[in-house]
Amino acid sequence: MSRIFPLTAILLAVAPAAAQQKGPMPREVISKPVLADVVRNLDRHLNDYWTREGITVAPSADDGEFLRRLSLDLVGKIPSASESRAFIADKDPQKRSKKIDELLARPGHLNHFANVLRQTWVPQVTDNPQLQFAFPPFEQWIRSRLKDNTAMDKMVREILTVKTLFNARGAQTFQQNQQDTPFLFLQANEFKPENVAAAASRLFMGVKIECAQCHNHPFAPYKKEQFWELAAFFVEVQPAIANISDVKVKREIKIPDTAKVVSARFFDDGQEPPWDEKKSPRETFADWLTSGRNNYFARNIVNRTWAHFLGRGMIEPIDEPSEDNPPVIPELIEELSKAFIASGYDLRFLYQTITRSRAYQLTSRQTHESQANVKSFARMSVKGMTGEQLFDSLAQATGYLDPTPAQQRQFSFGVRGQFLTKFASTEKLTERQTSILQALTMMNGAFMSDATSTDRSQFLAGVVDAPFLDVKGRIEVLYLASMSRLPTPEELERHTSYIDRGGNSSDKNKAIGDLFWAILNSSEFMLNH
Amino acid sequence: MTASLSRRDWFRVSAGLGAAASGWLPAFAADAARNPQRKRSVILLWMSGGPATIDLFDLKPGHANGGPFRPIEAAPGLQIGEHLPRLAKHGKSLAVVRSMSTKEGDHGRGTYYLRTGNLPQGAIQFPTIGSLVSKEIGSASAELPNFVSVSPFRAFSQGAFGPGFLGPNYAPLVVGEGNFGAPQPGQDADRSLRVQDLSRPGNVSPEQAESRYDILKEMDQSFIADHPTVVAQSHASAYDRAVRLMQSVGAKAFDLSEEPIKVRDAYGRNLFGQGCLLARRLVERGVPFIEVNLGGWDTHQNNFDAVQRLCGILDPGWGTLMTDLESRGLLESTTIIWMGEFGRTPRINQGKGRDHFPNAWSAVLAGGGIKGGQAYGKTTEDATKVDGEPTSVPSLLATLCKAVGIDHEKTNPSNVGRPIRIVDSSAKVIKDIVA
Repeated sequence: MSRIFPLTAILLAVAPAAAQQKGPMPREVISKPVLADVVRNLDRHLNDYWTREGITVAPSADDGEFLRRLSLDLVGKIPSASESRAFIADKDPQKRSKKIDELLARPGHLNHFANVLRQTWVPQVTDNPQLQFAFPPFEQWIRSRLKDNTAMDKMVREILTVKTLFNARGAQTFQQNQQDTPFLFLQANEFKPENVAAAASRLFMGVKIECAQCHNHPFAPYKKEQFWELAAFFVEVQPAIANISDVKVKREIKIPDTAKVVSARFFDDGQEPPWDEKKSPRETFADWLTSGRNNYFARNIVNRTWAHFLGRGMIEPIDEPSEDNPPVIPELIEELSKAFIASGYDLRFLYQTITRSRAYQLTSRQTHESQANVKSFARMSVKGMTGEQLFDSLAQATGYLDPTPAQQRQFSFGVRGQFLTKFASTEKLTERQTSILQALTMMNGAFMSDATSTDRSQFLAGVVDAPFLDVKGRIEVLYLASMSRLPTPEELERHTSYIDRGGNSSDKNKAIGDLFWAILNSSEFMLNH
Repeated sequence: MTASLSRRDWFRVSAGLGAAASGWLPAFAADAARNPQRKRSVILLWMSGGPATIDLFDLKPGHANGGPFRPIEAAPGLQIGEHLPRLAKHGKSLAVVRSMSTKEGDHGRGTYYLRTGNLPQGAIQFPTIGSLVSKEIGSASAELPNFVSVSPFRAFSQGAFGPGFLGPNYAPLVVGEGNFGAPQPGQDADRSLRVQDLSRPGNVSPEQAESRYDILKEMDQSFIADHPTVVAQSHASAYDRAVRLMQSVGAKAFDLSEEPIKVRDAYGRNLFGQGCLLARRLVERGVPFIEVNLGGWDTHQNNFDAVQRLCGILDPGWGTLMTDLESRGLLESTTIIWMGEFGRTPRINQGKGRDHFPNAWSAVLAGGGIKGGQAYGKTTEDATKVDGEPTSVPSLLATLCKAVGIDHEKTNPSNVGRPIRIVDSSAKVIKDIVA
């Protein structure tokens, strides 16, 4: 009692004084959100929505189904057979939460997300041969920030305000083996303010303002001036301007093919920015973007991250929020955005929240027609795999060891690189098409041919030779290694009889190879569900 | 008497009648040519980047905007650019539409508009013309894919190269992928146009292939039953089509080494030229839609050098294609459409280049169903505006449909619930150039 009294006395003394103060209010102290509370709220919003809409929600996913999906989304590949077996057998009621934390702590998680974020932020790499060798420093930079769990607002700020490396004559001095840096973001956008602005707007604000570059946006209320006022923040990324000391030059841009010059202004309120002599225009923009004074940043990151796991954003299309495109469940995105800001833009917190939500626990099997509308998240959506996920999962399932030297693996040399070229795509994963060429590669390609032949695959030979396995046991191993589940009794029966009669050629080894070939080519294997 | 007699049957019939110069035969022949049951093909020559048609098909030699190129005669009253001499020999088959006009000067929007006939509209996934047309005139049971795309440059607009709401069954087979912009002359086009991994591995017998494929089908069927989604359907569809392609005799079309060296040289030893040769071989085997892409036309700098160089690729490819089709009697059933996403500015800029210009430019229709030897529509003397009524994209595509015997107002179910016409109803078929 005696300890509390002075404290309250101080608080009481301070509070009225603060209320009389003029000028900016002290920053509101928000306590860090509690994970369980946030998840509970999210689930409440989801349940309310489903009840209101009269939707029969899909049941919870099986353990194997959940583990495989979680593994693909967090670590970029399927789990090993032993990991699957152990998880399925585990009786701990908390095992799913624990597995989430376990996967988040793996280096594979950092690699996967560094790759995913790099591809999201610099999509130009896929089509530009000159950039194909320039991305590693950026990806490594992202990885190191993820490792430290750097807050997202700080990460984005660093990207937007990265030092431009031009010498006095405006020549680019960027070296290939540069220390990890987000410089590629500017380079991939050709050091043009309009390109950087368009990218920043789309990726970090979730606003696709690009069309307004040449004329007033046809479908959204963005005017041409607004676009160029945004671009004006990035004037200094140009080599010719970077070293000019006149600050005013760096805040203005001439709209091409006109005589009009506009000054940098914030996107939504058109206010004159609070210029500070010590800050560059890009820093001023980054401050505003991440200040929480606008509605865009947190919502956009939350929406995109939700889409990564659930296959679809809460606002979809992801970069066109508007009155005509409202979120399906407004309370959901509000709750998550608020929590994300309160957490200090903590990405790991965001991943933990989403993967614990009820929506992420659901099976992807459709059990009722009310689940058919993907907007409602009433069942898990089916996603295609990226080329990276597919190759790494194939390697996991077949015990393939990549002989390519580590430094070369990320490029198009070697087996993985060749594979990635064939399976590259920038389509949304829930709409990913399989092409005839991909089907041919999977069916007839050298990789698969080796992996499904007992002569050439160590893994398969091991399965076939293991003296402690009967046919049923061998089939179980193949299923656990690839589908992360045990075969159903019906599947077991069917495959056992196929192998017992030696398939089509009275050769039991070939028959096992056939089964493995079918499994690896199946939609259940190749898709993320 | 049905009109679906083959050429050989024809001669037998007419010989039997003993009346080679019989009056009614020519009329009958004309009728057969119009019969939509007769196998038709369309070849789209897609010029990515926006070609300077003012230097190719609508020259203004007297004007400051005209630049250094001179026109040459392609047909009486029809002149085209001097750097397309082989093509000019086929002037009587060409209909140059000089009145193309749109408001879309952005690569992405322009590409989408020209290739789907619609502007991008949020949720609706419009199919590309290749998917729309091949769905109408192709056969669902054909062993070769109905739509083949050679070396597409999809970066400008990913969505403009796929089947959209028609679904994965109408997606193209893509060959020659992974090439950026304009092809380098002398590239090993031969290998990149083959269909990779087309053959079964040597140690797998046909019986084994079939029995393991049966296992796969059973697995997929049970997965799709529980997961009725686009991705699952696309997977199943791709595998079925892949197997069909493997088993087809027609797949030999992709092996260009079957052609004499002289022929391959005539088309040009580059991706576009060999792509045109592949297109001819696919037409011979009844593939209804082939698109061959040639990029590099975005000539903001050094327009004339670049255009001349590109013509060195375009002319042998297209010209030889027309010659070959004609000599094989296939030109009358093959419609060719040549276009890019927009034209280029009449005013030459400081870098000796031309910039984007959608206001007035040219597209070309040729071959089957087209009345050639003419230019339709015109531009003003300085080429800055269409003189007279402009031609819209829907009108151009509707004209293509008419030439091929498709009803452009026919609808398909879309991904947003409502049925959508093949071509927008605002289209007006250009009757003057349809045969």
